[in-house]
Amino acid sequence: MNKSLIILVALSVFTAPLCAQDLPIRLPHTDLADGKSTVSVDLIDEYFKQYWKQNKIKKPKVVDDHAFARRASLTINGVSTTFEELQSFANDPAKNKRSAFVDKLLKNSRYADYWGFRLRQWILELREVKGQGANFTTLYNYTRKAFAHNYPWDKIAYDIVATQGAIKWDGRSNFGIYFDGEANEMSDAAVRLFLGQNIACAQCHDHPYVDEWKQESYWGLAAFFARVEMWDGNVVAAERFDERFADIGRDERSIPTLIGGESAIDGGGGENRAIADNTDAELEMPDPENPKTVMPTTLAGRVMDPTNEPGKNRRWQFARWLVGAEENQFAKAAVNRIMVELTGHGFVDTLDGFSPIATVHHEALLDQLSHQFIESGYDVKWLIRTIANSRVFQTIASDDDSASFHWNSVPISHLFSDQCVDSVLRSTGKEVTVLATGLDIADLLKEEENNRIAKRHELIPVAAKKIQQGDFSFLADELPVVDESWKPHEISIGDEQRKTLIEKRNAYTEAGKQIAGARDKARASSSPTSVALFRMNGDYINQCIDTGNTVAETLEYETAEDRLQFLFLRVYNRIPSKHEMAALLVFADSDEPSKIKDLLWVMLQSVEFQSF
Amino acid sequence: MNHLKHRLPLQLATRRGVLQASVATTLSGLMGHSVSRVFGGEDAAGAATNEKSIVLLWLEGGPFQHDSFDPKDESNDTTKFKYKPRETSADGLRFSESLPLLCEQAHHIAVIRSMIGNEMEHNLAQYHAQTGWRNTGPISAPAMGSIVAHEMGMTPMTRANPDGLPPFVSIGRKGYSSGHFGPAYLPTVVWDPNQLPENLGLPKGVDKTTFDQRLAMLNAIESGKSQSRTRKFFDGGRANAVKFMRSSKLAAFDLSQEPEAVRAAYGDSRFGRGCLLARRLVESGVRFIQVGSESYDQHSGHHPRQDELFKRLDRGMSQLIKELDERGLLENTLILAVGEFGRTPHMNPSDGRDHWIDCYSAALAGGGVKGGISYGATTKFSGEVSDNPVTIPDLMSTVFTAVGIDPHKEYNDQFNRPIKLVDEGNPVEDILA
Repeated sequence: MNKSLIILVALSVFTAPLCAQDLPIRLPHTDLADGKSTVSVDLIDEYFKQYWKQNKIKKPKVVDDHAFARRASLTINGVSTTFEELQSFANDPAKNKRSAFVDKLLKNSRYADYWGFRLRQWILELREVKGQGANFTTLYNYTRKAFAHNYPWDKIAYDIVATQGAIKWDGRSNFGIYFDGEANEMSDAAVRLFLGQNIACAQCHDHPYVDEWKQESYWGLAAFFARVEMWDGNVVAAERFDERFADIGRDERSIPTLIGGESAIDGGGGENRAIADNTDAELEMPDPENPKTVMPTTLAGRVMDPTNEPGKNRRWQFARWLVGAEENQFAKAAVNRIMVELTGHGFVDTLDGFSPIATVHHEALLDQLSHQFIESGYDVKWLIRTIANSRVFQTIASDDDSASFHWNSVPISHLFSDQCVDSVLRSTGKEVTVLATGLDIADLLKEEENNRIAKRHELIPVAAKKIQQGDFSFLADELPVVDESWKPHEISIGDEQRKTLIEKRNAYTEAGKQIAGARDKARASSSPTSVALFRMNGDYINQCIDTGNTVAETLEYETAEDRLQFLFLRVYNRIPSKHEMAALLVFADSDEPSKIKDLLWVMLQSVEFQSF
Repeated sequence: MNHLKHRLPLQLATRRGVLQASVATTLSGLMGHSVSRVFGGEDAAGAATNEKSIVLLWLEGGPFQHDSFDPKDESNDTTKFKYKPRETSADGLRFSESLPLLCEQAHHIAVIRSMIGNEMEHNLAQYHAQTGWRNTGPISAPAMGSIVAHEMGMTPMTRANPDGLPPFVSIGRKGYSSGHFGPAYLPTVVWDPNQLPENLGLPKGVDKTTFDQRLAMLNAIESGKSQSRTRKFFDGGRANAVKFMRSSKLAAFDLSQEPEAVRAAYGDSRFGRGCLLARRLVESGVRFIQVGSESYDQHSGHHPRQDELFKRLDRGMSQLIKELDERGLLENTLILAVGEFGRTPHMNPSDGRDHWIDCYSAALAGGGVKGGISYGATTKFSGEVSDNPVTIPDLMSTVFTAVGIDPHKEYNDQFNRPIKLVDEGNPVEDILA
């Protein structure tokens, strides 16, 4: 590469804008970007109005405000709702308050924190055996950012499928590393994730049921990934590795507002690997009876002309094919996935259940929603908002299949791992105590941010000089990213105070690590017995109960009735029924913290807490 | 018309569950597996008559075949073999001199020297070695321990060991996939053989009385609620957990109850203690015990690291065979010692040995197999199979046949496709008793 060009690229990275207020630890806020479009049509309600009428089904009742707030909060922000939020929501006389509540949740930074985990999980679940050394932290940095900035879904597809880069710098490049750079695994996974189709049967033989899915078309898709190369930074010389990857596909961190900060992200860093493309490799079909070179071919059998997009690699062409797949399949798969996340209802039976022969339920609605989703510019927030505002989203939850078959009740959902971990934090009042520490140390964080950015400014001329001399070692370090308009925070911390703050900061980080540990545990496969043991006897729930403020806050209420009601609202997000009040009052009728602790523990074990 | 029932063999816990079929249980609960399987419905398992147990000594990372069960007389500058073969208690059968104690138990041991693998990378190779399936596409196959837990007529929910112990315990490492059998067939994990299984003890500051009171309170809160599938799932898991906590056989996990001399005989290592715990669990009726080891993956500094690991294997495994034999339990217990692949016959420039799938060894002992024999042969430096190659599915078929499980039994997986316990493998008849 031309030397001066490198300097140009490198310096442009230095000056890339970064929000200077991005502290390494941030508290939740409600400043996320809005989606572009607003809800324009009541597509879903209109459809079901007709459908229920035709099928002689009574228009289903919708849940009350409390249940609505809990469901919306769990599905959109990944955590149960708070006592205070419930109170103000229930007392709000506004007619459109549910809609406004959804909007508020979509602007909350917890939306990005949570859906970042979901997208990461969708990717990780595509493979039973994890690939070598993928970096789950940078992957999360990317997935979180995608939701924080409301990236259009098609951009996300291009990012994940076609990125070249080093995983320590660019979370998107993990996709290839996670699949060990195996061409067919990548194409297979991308089709499952973005088209909702499972073509894996055609790996070894033509698909037994779907005529269109030939073995040759399976490998034709894999051929789009034939030129993928995995780079191992521990094998390749550092300079070569950095020269190749330091100035491409660099993706800055997206700092979560999780309780406990960045240390609350589970998964850990991977190895020093990168993914790139060469220009000449071709794919051999691994069929002993039919060994031949396969050119990139779409499922419909169209051979792609590799020369028609100069400067774009084959993976980019693959992403373009995904997004433009016949019959809006790319949009349909996304609509189906988000519908499942929010309501538990799927248009097909599994997330990858689309195929030319699959039965699609409520197909007309899917068609319309997909069309509108494309019109919105693949605006994920539009989609979530549209679904969350529908009557379907607000129907009563039921375990009864026949009740939910016509989408007149939503199936009961078990909490996902992140929903559970964060809701335990919230219900036990541990969230508030950790947050308080976070607030206390804000000054310290600002001071550190001052120093960090000041140091980056100092480094710019040094870096520029080194690059001029052909020394790229500097790039191997974290590149300084500076916003020119940045001004230092005005703070002064005394030595004594600093000592205290550092201790607090350590405590905050420690709390984050514990939360990450719980996420990790919660995600791991375990038998139902082990799950129950973890919930009853494990450190996480019990320490949250011990160190959260819920027990103390409960005892601030004078009467047993008030205490029980407070606990119900905090843990179940609802008011106890008369019957429950009568039956359970005795348990709240004590000034002993240990008794309240017992009650809180019991409520956290109950089915109601674990599902919605 | 319920499309879910039409399409899937199972009635799943929640619709979300259906759609997350690839997800295993999380803290938050069950996803994607049938309640009938979790609770051991009529279809769930075979007859509960088989009293056999299996101990898998899982030599993760890839032990070197030559220095264990496939030694050769010759060495050269490339192979740099340190160890010589040694005569054993079985006529004509030789092990490496690095395993002197196992040499004395060789009359109980059948060695397969002609194992061939397919996967060069640890994770993929371990998945293959544990399940018999290569990790491709959407197949999610159960590992050996999960298959045995399922096939030996014990589901964790209803037909568990009458004493509340789980059928499948993994010591020192987590389990592998339980595939289409669902998370109920994942193992109970004992991270440290000196301690109880994870989370079995009461939380800090909670005594037994308090715990019992809490459970009673929980029953009060939950009583009168409808018996939904969701509720059944959570209640079932908890009931089983409580039964486990209260089991009269929990002492099986307490190694301090063994005389000092016995503990010393197994060796002062995690692996050795794992072997001792395995013996105690066999005595308590646990069906499948996986004993994890520290990794045999030495790409540099082969000696003395592998020497130390073989010392641990030698002590632990030989003592396990000996004690099970003395107690009359060996005939009903099958021991299998194997890793995911072997190591290169040649020493690399860092004095290490790299992954090798062209030939490696597996050692079996006890119920269902002959002792004192070897099967298959390898070339001069234990680098290639020269006779009677054995695949991973063959090995799994052999193990299952030895304990009375039909390796070709067919199930429908979570996508309703037929899947056999073992695909295409055949038992090595020559070593079966």
